[in-house]
Amino acid sequence: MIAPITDPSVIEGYLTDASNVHGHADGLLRPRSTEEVSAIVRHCQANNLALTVTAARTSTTAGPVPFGGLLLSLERLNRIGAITHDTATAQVGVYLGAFQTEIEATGRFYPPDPTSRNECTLGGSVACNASGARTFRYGPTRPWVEALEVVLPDGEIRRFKRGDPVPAAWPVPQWTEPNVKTSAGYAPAKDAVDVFIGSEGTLGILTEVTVRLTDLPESVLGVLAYFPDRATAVAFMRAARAAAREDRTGTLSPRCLEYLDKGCLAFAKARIGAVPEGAGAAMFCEQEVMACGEDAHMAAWFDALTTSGALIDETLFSSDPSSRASLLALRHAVPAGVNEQAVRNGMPKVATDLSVPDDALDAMMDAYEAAPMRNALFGHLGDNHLHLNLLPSTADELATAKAFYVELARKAVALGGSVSGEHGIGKTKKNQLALMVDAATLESFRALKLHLDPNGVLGRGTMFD
Amino acid sequence: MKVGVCIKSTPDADTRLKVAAGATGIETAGIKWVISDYEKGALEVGVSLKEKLGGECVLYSVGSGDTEKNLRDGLALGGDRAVMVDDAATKGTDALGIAKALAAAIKLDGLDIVLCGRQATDDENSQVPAMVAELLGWPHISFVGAFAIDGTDFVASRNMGGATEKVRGALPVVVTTEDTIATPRYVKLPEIMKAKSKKLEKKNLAALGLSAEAIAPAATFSAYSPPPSRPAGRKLAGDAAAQAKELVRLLREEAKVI
Ligand SMILES: Cc1cc2nc3c(=O)[nH]c(=O)nc-3n(C[C@H](O)[C@H](O)[C@H](O)COP(=O)(O)OP(=O)(O)OC[C@H]3O[C@@H](n4cnc5c(N)ncnc54)[C@H](O)[C@@H]3O)c2cc1C
Repeated sequence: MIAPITDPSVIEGYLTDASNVHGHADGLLRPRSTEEVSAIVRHCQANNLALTVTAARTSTTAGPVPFGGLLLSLERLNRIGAITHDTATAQVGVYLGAFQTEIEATGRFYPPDPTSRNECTLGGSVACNASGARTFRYGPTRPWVEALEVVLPDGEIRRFKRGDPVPAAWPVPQWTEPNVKTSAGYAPAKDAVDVFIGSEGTLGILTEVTVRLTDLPESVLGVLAYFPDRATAVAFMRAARAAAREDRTGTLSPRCLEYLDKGCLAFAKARIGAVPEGAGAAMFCEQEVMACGEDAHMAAWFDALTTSGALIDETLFSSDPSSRASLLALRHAVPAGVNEQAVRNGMPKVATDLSVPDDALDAMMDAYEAAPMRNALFGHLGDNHLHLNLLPSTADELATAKAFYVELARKAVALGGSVSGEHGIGKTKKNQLALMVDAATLESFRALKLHLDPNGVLGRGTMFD
Repeated sequence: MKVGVCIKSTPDADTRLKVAAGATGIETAGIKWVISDYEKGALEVGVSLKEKLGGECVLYSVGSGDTEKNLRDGLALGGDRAVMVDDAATKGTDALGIAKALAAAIKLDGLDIVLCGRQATDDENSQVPAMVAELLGWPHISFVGAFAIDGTDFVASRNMGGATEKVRGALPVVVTTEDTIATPRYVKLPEIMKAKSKKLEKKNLAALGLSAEAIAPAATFSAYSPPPSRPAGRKLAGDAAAQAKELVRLLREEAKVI
């Protein structure tokens, strides 16, 4: 096995992620090949040493944060392999955005787009079954994964293609996932690849991924629409969503429907000023140009926005990549503003990741709006998956925010939703997972984990205590 | 006030340009053509002047295909009408040929001011506006970072790399603008709908009193080549202290940045 780095000043850079949880590790390993990964895993099993997989540490749930044992960084497995018409292959340490850029240069398209795509790795996004704005049209990462190379917890190197069944001896949990966008718990997999997608580094170490590609849209329209209030924005989303579900290639068939509430607009205004008077909510949407052509799309969007009561004279529109980027700047001013406020408050923000079924959206939004402190609510309205960002300014408020989050999670579960739409469970949301799945299901997760990793070496503390 | 804005369609800034087979130009398949960045600022100035002083803001472009779409985009950004010189003979012409076509179209409209970007974002030629001014017999003020009308005069500030030069003169004038002169407004959906019914006239060379011979190029491009690829990175050897020392030496002696 390659020798671990033990210099604390090097290890220090690997001990936290976007959750702000800070861990500790006895050594750091940066293998250059799948075989080296395998040797490390065998060593850890033989010595019952905890092994935590870390990629780009953009996780918001402390998944890559170690508490003792060795830390395995995948940064050196960073080669992009073959890109063909139908699939693209890369090692897991490649940055997702860079991978997508290479794919798009060939005229093909890999849709999953977590906001962090330029900062997170391909492997991390598969390990968390990441989603993004475009998930509304294209689904999460899972359906796009064609094949995986995995180092199992016993060190064996395996390759699974989509369609390869789960090995008969593996006790895959049989449970019904909530019928919403979800990345919580082990999937009731039929294909072996699905066992590992979303398993957050607890069932195996992904070393290479092959994804399925589709046509790169020739042209994409961007729309930033302002609304007097939440009700009109939600009405528009429902109209657009219904149209998209009825006809995926119609004149009104958005690929994303993203929401920004009043709290967000206040941040956007403070940073870039350009928010119209009377705006109480906004939506950022994208439409890929279909066979009907740009003009037909514009007419359909104009009608739907007008009918639902948008501030139509203030609706901004873009038809080329650079001006779409400038509309996005408005949207991105919000998370930047939220993060700055958290720094000013000297307290971390508490951000939710709950998703609910269509008919529960209003009830969930009512619950968000009862937040007991300054906040901003934004995210994937088309998927009923919003992120409430609570901004406590004192230690007491932080405790209140955390308790309020648990209340919201309870509510989402009661409404048939998921405690994690996309960020996963990690180490910080185990209590919430327990709200969502019953003891028997949790036991079935543990059974799979113990079957593959009897000593609980991989990802210790993630998903299970 | 009658303001004209000349608009060139150039590849979107996100485009990865490739030299076409035969090295005769760039590979145009898949390129999204947009209003050249510098001209977005010129357009904003033109539209704001018209909004403030009344009159008309007219857009001019030589081209075909996406040129029409970009003129429509310009109309959605506040232009009142557009003139597109659409003639197959303009395809292989040079800067002077384009300038002749633009000047002829502008002459027919009797303008007070013509605004252009300081250069196109694709070929960065910077020649056409000065030629237009010459052909019209008007003064040309270049690299303008601020522009205003004061009675019957114009007042312009020219950026001179560290210093600013103020220029005052009588209209008419041709002005080339810096991209910093104004922040282009966002396009609003209702304006796009309205722009569809604004007047966009297509004129061929004959309608401008020109012929294909009159704009025959004096010079043609003979070959295109991509910039040289970046040399491979260099890896420093030795322990951390030795590497740091070598890095400082390289930054100082080779890169000369410290
Ligand atoms: C600003 C910001 C925006 C974000 N936006 C989104 C978003 O829109 N959608 C979304 O879904 N998420 C989002 N996230 C969360 C995060 O970016 C994603 O979950 C991402 O997929 C994590 O990738 P990573 O490379 O950083 O992995 P890490 O954070 O390093 O690891 C994440 C988890 O995966 C495991 N893991 C990583 N690589 C492997 C591997 N090769 N094999 C096995 N296990 C592995 C780790 O052990 C850990 O449990 C965001 C985060 C930030 C900070």
